Parts: sequence; structure tokens; C-alpha cells
Amino acid sequence: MYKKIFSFLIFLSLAAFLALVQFSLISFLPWPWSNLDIILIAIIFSCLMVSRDRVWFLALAAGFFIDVFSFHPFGLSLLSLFLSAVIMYFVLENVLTNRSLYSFLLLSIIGITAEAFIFNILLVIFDWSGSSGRLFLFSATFWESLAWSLALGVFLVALFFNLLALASRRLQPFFLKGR
Amino acid sequence: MRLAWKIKKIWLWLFIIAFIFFAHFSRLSRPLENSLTIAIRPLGKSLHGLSTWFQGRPNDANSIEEIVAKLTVAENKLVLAIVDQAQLQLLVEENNKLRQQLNFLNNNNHYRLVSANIVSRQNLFDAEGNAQDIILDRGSKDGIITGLGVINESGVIIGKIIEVKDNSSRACLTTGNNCQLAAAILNGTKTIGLSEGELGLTIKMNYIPQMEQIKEGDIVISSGLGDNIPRGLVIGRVAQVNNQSNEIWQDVSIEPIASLYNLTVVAVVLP
Repeated sequence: MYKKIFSFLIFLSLAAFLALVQFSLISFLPWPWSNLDIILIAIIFSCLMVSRDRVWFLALAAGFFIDVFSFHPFGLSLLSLFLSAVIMYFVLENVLTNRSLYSFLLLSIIGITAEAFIFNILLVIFDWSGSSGRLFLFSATFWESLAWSLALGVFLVALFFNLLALASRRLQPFFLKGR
Repeated sequence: MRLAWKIKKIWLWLFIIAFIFFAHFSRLSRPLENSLTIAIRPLGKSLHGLSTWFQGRPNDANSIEEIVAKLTVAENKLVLAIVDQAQLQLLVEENNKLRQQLNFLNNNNHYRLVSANIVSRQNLFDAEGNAQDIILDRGSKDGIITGLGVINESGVIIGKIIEVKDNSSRACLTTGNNCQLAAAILNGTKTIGLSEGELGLTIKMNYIPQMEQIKEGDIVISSGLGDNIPRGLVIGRVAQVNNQSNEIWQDVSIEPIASLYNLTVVAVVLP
């Protein structure tokens, strides 16, 4: 039981650190690097390594910290990250039956797209001071940011996946030796 | 049995989320949130400072000749600025003497300031067109309210407070679409109007009557007529005057004097 509590505390600290880096460092990087979402990438890799409960806990905690630090309506990041984690886990367990590189690249695309859409839909629902006058679907900036988020996210997932494949036997390699 | 357990777990997660929302909106979690906001200040300031290393200005020169040309122009402007400063000093002394003679209250320009570190930039509403707001690590507990001006180390106004929490606040930059300032142009007729940012790059002042004489290089300052921003804070310089003879209004493009790209420490001007 203490081991479980300790592991949740580790994930809480990780969530706080990721939220702070996303909030203070990445948000101020030059475009297009500011479109990088390291919290989502951490969630994707958590799907590889740990149980469903810890993945969802990481998403919930990171979303909570981002909501506390930021000035957008409370719950926006929390719900968008959590729901994206739920969708990713559902896809991984029921649709993608293996853990190859292709599966995780597809999972990254699904996760990043889901998070962007859920975030903006919630923003429209909350109608943040009436500033959501133009629907985000008709905004070129939204699609451009999404494209860059996908490109950067997929690149990082591929890079770290290959590094992890060298270090761990838990992943199916891209090339199956002996075939 | 397994399905029942799964359903119980789903209800547990929903309960946790609902509790977080309840705790926030009933202000039960306010002490925890304030503690977190205070706790991130030193690390947030360091991380934000680190990110400024990666920032570059959009008009960086690309060759030595360009740099030399820019340096020459800057040196000439410096000489003119020194001359202006000397004349200004004389005017200030004369003004003080006249005030003393007429027994006026001395309207000194010493502002009450609260210094703040920038901990993040938030371009959340990109769909609305390049809104870039900065997050400061000072809030209502430090006396900050909405509408206050934010200045850089040179005393140039770079934005306005638009939202305040207990220990943090959000300010719009003068070049942001959502940032409007009551402004005045230092021309012969002291034209007043509303400046607003455009595309995160420049500032515009619209609906200026055609009869107003404005020329490139005129200084634009805060007029003191709106919000809680005092008069006299420099916003920028007129870069372009757009006046068509067949139009009722003219508009000007204002070039911000302050660099808005590498800000790390700013000050909020208290009323």
C-alpha cells in the first residue's frame, strides 16, 4: 500500500514539473516550438509503461496544475487532458492491439488531435468573455498550430520510442529481426 | 463481477473530478492554489528567463553591413536624444520654478511601482488573432487591480493588467489585439484617441479626424483619460500616417519603442 502511495506521489511531482515546464518554458519558445505539448507526450509514454490508473492520474494532476497557473477557465486543461488520456487508453486497449512504433505514432496523432479539439470545444462552451466569437474550426491559426503540434509530437514520440526500445524489452521493435 | 468493478472505478474517477471542481468553485482549494502559485515563482522565473535565450527579434540583421548601418542610425538617434534631453531638462527646471512661483502643488512624476517577474506567456486565444498575454507573479495581494499599466525598466508602457488572481495577474501587451490604451500624440494639437494592438506586431490608432496634423516620428504617450494609467507613459512613435483625402478619418501605425520579446522583469504602476 505504501508503495502505491509513493508511486502516486512520484506521479504528482512529475505532473507538477511537467506543468511548470509547459507553462513557463515552452509557452515562451519561438513559434513553432511553443506548440509542443510535453504533458501529452508524457501521457503517451505512460501508456507504455504504467497502469491505466496512473496514466489518468498523471493527466488529471497535470491538468489541475495548468488550470491553477493559467488564466483560462478552470477545468479546461483538466478535462481536455483527462478525456484525451481516456480516449488514448481506449484506443490502445481495444483498437491498437500491439505496442509497435506505428501504434504509438497513431496514438500520438489521435491524442494530440483529441486534446486540441476537446480544449477548444470546452472553450467555446465556456464562452470566455465572449472572445470565442469566431469558431475555431474556421481559424487558420488553429489548424496551423495543430499541424505543428502533430509534427513536433510525432517526432518526439518516434525519437523517444526508439531510445526506449534500445533500453527496454517491453516494446516491440520497429524491425522484427529474423524475418 | 469484473464489469461491476470497472463501473465502480469509473464512478470513482467521476467523483474525483467533480470534487476538484467543487473544491475550486467553493474556494475550499484556494489556500492550496495560492500556495502552488507562490511556490512556482522562483522556478517559473528561472524557466522563463531560460526561454528568452531562444527568443530572437523578427527584424534581426542578417549581415555585417546591415548591423553597421543599424548601428550608425542608432548613434545618430542617440545624439539627437541627448540634445532633446538637455532641452527637456531646461524645460523641467523652468516648469518647476514657475510652479513654485505660482504656489502650485508639485505634481511629481514619481509613480508607485510593484515589480513583477514574467512567469509565462499565454497565447491561448490564437483563433482570435495573435493575442499574446504575459502572466506576472504578483496579484491582488500586492495591490494590483485590473486596468493598471505595466512598464519595462525604461519606464515605457508595454501593456495593461486585464485579469487578477490572488498571487498572479495577466497583462495584455500593447501589440496584442485585445489591448486598448487611452493615448495622446505629442503633436501641436495633442491628438487623443484609443490605441490598440494589431497582429501582435504593431499598434494602431484609428478614427483620427483628418484635420489633425500628425507626422512620422511623433511620440505617442498614455493620455491618462482611461483606466488607472497615469498620463505621460511613452507607448511608441508614429511610424506611418494613413490619410486619404476622400476619407473622413485618418489612422496611424505606431511602432513600439520597447522590445516586447525579451521581457523578464516589469513593473506595475499603482494608482
